[in-house]
Amino acid sequence: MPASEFDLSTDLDTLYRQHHGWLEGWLRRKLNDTFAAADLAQDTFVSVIHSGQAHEIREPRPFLATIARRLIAHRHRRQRLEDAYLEVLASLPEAVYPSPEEQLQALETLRQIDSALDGLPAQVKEAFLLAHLEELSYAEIAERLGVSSSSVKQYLMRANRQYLFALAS
Amino acid sequence: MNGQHSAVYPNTPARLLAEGQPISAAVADQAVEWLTLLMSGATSAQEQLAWQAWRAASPEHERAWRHIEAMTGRLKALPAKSAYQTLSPYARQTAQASRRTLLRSLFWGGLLAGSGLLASRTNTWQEQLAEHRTGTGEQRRVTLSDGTCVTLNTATALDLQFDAQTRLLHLRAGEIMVVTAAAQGLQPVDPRPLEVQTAQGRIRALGTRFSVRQDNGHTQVAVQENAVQLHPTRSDRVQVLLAGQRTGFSRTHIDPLRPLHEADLAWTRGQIIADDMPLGEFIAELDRYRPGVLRCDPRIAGLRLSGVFPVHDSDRILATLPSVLPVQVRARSRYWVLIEKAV
Repeated sequence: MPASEFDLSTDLDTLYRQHHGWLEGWLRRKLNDTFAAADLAQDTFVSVIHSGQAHEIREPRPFLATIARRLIAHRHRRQRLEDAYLEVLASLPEAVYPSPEEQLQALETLRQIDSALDGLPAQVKEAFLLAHLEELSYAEIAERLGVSSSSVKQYLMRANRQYLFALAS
Repeated sequence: MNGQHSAVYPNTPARLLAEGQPISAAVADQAVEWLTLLMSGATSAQEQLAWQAWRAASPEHERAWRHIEAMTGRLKALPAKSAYQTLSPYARQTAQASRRTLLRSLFWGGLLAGSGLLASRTNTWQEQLAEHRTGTGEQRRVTLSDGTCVTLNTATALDLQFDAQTRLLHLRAGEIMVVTAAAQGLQPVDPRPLEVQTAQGRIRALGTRFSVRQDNGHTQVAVQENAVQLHPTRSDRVQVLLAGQRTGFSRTHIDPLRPLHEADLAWTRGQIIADDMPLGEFIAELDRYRPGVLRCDPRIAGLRLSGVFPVHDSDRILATLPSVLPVQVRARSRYWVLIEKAV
């Protein structure tokens, strides 16, 4: 076994034993939900493992709390998206209601797209969705958003760049 | 998991990938510029040639472009309306605020809001650039280099990818009827498999005559001779569809098989055959062949009619409707026609 891998697992082991209980307690107080706290504490450590940064951590608790906060935000975001999708489904006529498999599939794709567009200004994101999903022309998007066609083109350049190439997925 | 990972560690340096391999930032930028230009729908023939030259200029360009097609294909595979409403930062606020006021005018109000979008909907860039395409109301027959005969129905876009291994017909929109060279009795038979690709999956021809229709989020297939194999993209299931059968499939799910009716392939003769067909369905079918907006009031959509109708003369069909059903045709313009209950 190479030395670095050995160190990594020792670091993780120490990190887990010394701080997992604290992190779970901190999350429990913050979320007021025992199960969610246990899940998120676990996810936080999984995330540390994936980062490969366990050996570089100098102040473990603030570091873990930062990751946990991001995971909470991420979880809220997923929840909001799921709620939005369920609400849209509820408004559909029965004849076009998707099967459970199709719903899962669509939700997974929607999550990927939502996460790929994360951080874009609302107008830019809206321009992207109107162009790709509603298939409106740039002039129509410009009218909807109250901006010029050349702005729409810039918005799409930015959103396309982020959607297509920002994430290594 | 990747998305989550980079969301949690935004400082991780992002690598630019296309089809799992790194590409340079410059090529990614160029590809995005081409896409943004093509999506505008305002490209000249010269620009389209320049785009093709760019693609052909290096394997990295081609790879970046295939990556773009895969990623935009993912968007196209979603039911557009639901996806837009779920993801848009604006759509649902507006929807919630206006829900109460909309309730009363739900039928026409809702329909008009939706069809307003349809009316202004232009062909997508994929459709505009397709090798073979037909406009609304147009039908055309083409013979491919291998002898396969393809009939394109109204508003159809088809791309061909023939190489050493396969003959791929990429149906981007609309409906086609495929008669393979083998089904026409032509010799020798081309050994490369012939497949039709839609947003939901692939259909492999087994020496045959069959039709494929690309609907929103759904593919319909009908087989007239021999057989085809259906492969939905996200399913391990392979379904053989025999002569006299039809079905539909999504990316994950194949519908039950049903018997083929004469009406299913009537379009290849320029007809709609209605056999006790609900008016709403009939109008939706006729709408495919007519530019602009043609809508039926849901309150009369359940009325039934029968007959053989020529799709190329939709004006005359509309004119005769009030003589067979208690309806009236209200034309706001040639491009905006509503079928309502007769008063």
